[in-house]
Amino acid sequence: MDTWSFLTTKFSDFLTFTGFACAEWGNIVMILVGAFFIYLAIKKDFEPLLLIPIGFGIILGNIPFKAVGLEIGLYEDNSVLNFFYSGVRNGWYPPLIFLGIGALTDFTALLANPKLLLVGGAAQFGIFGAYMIALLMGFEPNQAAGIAIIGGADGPTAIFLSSKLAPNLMGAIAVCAYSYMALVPLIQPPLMRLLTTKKERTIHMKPQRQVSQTERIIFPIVGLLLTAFLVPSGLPLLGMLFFGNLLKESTKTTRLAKTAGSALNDAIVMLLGLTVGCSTQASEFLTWNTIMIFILGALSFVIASSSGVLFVKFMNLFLSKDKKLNPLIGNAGVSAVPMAARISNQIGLEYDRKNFLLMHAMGPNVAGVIGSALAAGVLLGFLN
Amino acid sequence: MKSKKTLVAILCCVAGITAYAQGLANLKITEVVVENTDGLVDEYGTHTAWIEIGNTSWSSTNVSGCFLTCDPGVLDPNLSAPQRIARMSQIPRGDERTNLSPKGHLVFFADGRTNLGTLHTNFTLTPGQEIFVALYEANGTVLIDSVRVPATLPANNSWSRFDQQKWLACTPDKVTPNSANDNTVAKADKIAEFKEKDPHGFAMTILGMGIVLSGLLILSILFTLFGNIMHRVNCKKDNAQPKPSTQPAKKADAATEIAVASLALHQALADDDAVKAVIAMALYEYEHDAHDEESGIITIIPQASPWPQRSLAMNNHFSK
Repeated sequence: MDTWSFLTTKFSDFLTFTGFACAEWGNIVMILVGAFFIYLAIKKDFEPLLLIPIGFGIILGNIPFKAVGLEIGLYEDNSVLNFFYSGVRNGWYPPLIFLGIGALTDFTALLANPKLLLVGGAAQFGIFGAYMIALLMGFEPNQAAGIAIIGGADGPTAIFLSSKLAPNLMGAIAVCAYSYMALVPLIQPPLMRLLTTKKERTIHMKPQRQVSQTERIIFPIVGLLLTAFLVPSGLPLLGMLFFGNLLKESTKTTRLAKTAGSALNDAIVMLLGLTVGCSTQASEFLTWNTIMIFILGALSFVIASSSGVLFVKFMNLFLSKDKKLNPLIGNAGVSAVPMAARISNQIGLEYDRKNFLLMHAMGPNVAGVIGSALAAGVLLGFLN
Repeated sequence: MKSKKTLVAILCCVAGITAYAQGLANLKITEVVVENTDGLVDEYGTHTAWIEIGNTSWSSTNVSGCFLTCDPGVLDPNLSAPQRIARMSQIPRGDERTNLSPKGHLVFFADGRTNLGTLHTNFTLTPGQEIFVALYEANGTVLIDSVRVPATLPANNSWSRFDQQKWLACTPDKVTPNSANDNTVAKADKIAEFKEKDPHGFAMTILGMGIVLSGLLILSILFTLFGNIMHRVNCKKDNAQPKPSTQPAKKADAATEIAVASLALHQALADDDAVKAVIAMALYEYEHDAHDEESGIITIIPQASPWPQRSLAMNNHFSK
């Protein structure tokens, strides 16, 4: 009898430990959100490399369990997930991603036409415009900065800055940033059409000049010195970006560049995506702030894309007829590489099937990466 | 030989003095509590005012022999070293605690009772008035660091240094004797300052966009100039290269022609320009429908290999 009683007690104890017993409606909603992300990634091909880890992380982070010191949760000390999460919490995943980005990025398009750097800079108005709107909506300056960085369209930068300035909002900011990056093909084209005339869309840009290997090697060194001296707080991101690029361009460290751009980058992307997804636990994520963050994120993307396009039009006022820029490359100033540049090319071809803008748009696109890292450094320097 | 040794000795002395001086320059007054009724206690359990000195460097620095004072009169440049020393409290030598570890901190109790030990000064701090605190080198003439604590500092609050130069009042829960100051105070202060003075974010936007655009503008100008220089250098190189001969080439046999063409193709593929040219030509042909009309007939040319030969041999063998 005692054995039977022991068995039933333990079985009923076991039932109280199961996810079914511990589940709340918030967990179910978040699991559905995670599943939706995975659906978007697989079925609609929206940034699958990011949305699958994030989506799965959301599901993983919202599996309900009884917190009785099992050391399994993301926020519990000594848990494996907590160990993985340290890369996000302490901000060392984003610089490693930047190392990979640097090793994969070809700055030739930018070096061929350095004035395109300014387009990448102008698009960062999305960040500061969103910062002003976030302040109006009642966020604290540090929270506003963390949210506004979504406008840079750069996931690692958004995670890096929000982990320093607004750690409690980081999960929502990261998911929002990656979601909107995946939605760039839906957000940008209507804006580009709205802000340009048909004549402007058919501007043929001058072919790019040849860029020597020397220029490509010197760029990461001079770029680092200049940007990091100007904004030292952006050093972790800028340093790794330019280091990765030097590994690639030196032509002597191809093996290292290949590892940084493939195996290492892939490993960090997996861990980053998974842990960021895990951090969106229902209690933290399903709040009014998250809705506000998504609204602000959308606005920051709109402002960033528009300011890039409008800035190119402004530049055209001062350029001679044969050197005019096609405003369709302005949207690429946000650093969603290379998706934003592909959109420029796609819209350009819609209006003139001989107007290939891809390489021209890659200039502002990679400038946007530098610009958003600089903007993050500025915000961090002022508010941290 | 002798002169060389002298030179080395002088250099060693100069380097040693410089290193010593640099070491002391890394010492900073980091935190001061003027009225302590409920906080840190000394070795005898007494609440008393205290001054914290921090080592900002990544190497150990010895503070022994230096002087602490709260007398602003020591700033008078007309004072001789002995006159100034008479107004100050020397940190005794020989106590290992005064050798500050990298980024280490040490508290001195301003209780006017040096007989209580190394960490006690010969002066006290009076609450309710502005307090001057200074740290001098062992020679009594070189000022290492000083601070003026406002008279309004509440009891048990500390006057703490942040970012090497900014001083802020810290509430009792943020007072950190013998350890680094709580940076969240400085962070909160920065955020509060922006919230108060830039509630709409205009200043941040102007500053941020200004910095980002100016950084990228400088980079743009630099690389435009550098690009022009490289272009000229390349043009000069091209001009310096001997022009290809205009004489007709000797006729080569078919095998040599194929070898030369193959080599040229390999070189072309290694050259970016050639690749671009090939892509451009392909695009042009595609756009103008200028591509070749293919016959649609696939021809497979058998490759020489031992297998068909054996197969053939077998067939021949059996056919016989």
